[in-house]
Amino acid sequence: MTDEDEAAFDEFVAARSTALLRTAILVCGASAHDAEDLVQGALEKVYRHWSRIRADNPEAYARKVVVNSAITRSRRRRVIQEITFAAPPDTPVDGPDLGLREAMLAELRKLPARMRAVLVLRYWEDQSEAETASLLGCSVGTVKSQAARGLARIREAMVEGVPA
Amino acid sequence: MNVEEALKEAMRAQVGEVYAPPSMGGAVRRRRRRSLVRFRTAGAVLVTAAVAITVPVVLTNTTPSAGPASGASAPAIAVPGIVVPDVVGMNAKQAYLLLEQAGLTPMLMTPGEGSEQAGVVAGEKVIQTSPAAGEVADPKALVQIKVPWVPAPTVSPTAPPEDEGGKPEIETLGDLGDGLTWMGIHVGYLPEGVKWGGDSYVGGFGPKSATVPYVTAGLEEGMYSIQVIVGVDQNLLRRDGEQIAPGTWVSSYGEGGEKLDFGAGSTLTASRDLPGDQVVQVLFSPDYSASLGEKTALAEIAKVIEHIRVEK
Repeated sequence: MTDEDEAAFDEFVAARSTALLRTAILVCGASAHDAEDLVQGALEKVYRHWSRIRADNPEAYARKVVVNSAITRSRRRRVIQEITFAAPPDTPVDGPDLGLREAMLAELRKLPARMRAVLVLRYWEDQSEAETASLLGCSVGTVKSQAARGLARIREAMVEGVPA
Repeated sequence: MNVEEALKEAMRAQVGEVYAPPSMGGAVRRRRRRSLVRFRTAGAVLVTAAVAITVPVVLTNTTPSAGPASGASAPAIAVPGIVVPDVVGMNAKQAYLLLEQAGLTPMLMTPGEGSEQAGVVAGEKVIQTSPAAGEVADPKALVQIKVPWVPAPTVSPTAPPEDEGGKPEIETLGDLGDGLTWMGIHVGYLPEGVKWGGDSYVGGFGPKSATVPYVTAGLEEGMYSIQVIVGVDQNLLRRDGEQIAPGTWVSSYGEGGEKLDFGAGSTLTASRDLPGDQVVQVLFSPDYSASLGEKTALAEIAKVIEHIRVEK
């Protein structure tokens, strides 16, 4: 890797890592700290192939890696969460006075990982249906149906979250 | 406000104030180096003569921005010393995890950069630690794990397996063979078609805890059919279910830990007080329970938990 490649990579990281980090947090439902680890792992892959991909849309490549590792991670987390929840929690997870926003975010976290990724890419990152499909390696039809089902569940949470 | 806008607003509230640390580029480069070392350690095959020089590489699990030697410079805490466990002969990765769990800072001694040209790589089995097993070290003290140098594999010119730098590093129990004996217990019975999926997680349920998921064919990666958790946290013992045997209870619980009827929204859970200080919990995933039906699921979970025994 040339010095120029290295400099370009630094620039890329400086410009894009915050956006990637935010997406990672939303998709895997993890803490900022865990998500940082994940984004670093993704950036490492970008770095490894940098001289090849830097000319070709490294951002799309990085986002693809981040989203897919976030999906993988959140599935792993789910295994652990299932059990964590089976033990009595220290504090109530869903209090009745949670605001609308928290209710929506809580519902978002409960969605299957891939469905959540669709919602994050479509409505947080404003990616088109086609771009979302390409990032997740699925069809546009799948993106449409997952987005519709996900939104429906969020909508339900909104209705329930409104204080009576 | 429509649901799309409301959702976007909620997402903004969650992550709008999050910024990536400025050190990320450097951290990525360090991490790249770490995974190279990991790969070399994993890729070795044969043990032969040791070579004089070694290059220390600290594989810290602390935040990468803390610098490569953070474990060494951590302030000493006024607690009694830690007896260095005996890890000689163990797989280097397992030894690393064990020492870390013991409260020490392990350091893997491996061949340095460019050692491939010299035809040697790090071996897998630990041959020595420094300080040696049985010696008392300060908490967080550095313990060098030495692996021998072995000839680099020459037969396979094929590309090395893609090293999964992006995968989360979760502590595992390593290779458990058939996956039935771990953390001092033996899982003596699993229903037909259920086997170990290769995963395990350490420490998620308090001290001295670990969990191993078992899967059925065709299950998505990361999901489980049956999960066994072992720990010493008495909270793992849910005594509010139906008592089916001495010290053994079964019930279904929702995501908030609330008791629910058997069904799609609940996890069938059995817990049992083992001889000694250990507690074991067995979970049937909602999907797996549904595939069995309530009656069979209840019978099977009772059988699984009954056949878990403490290994002597």
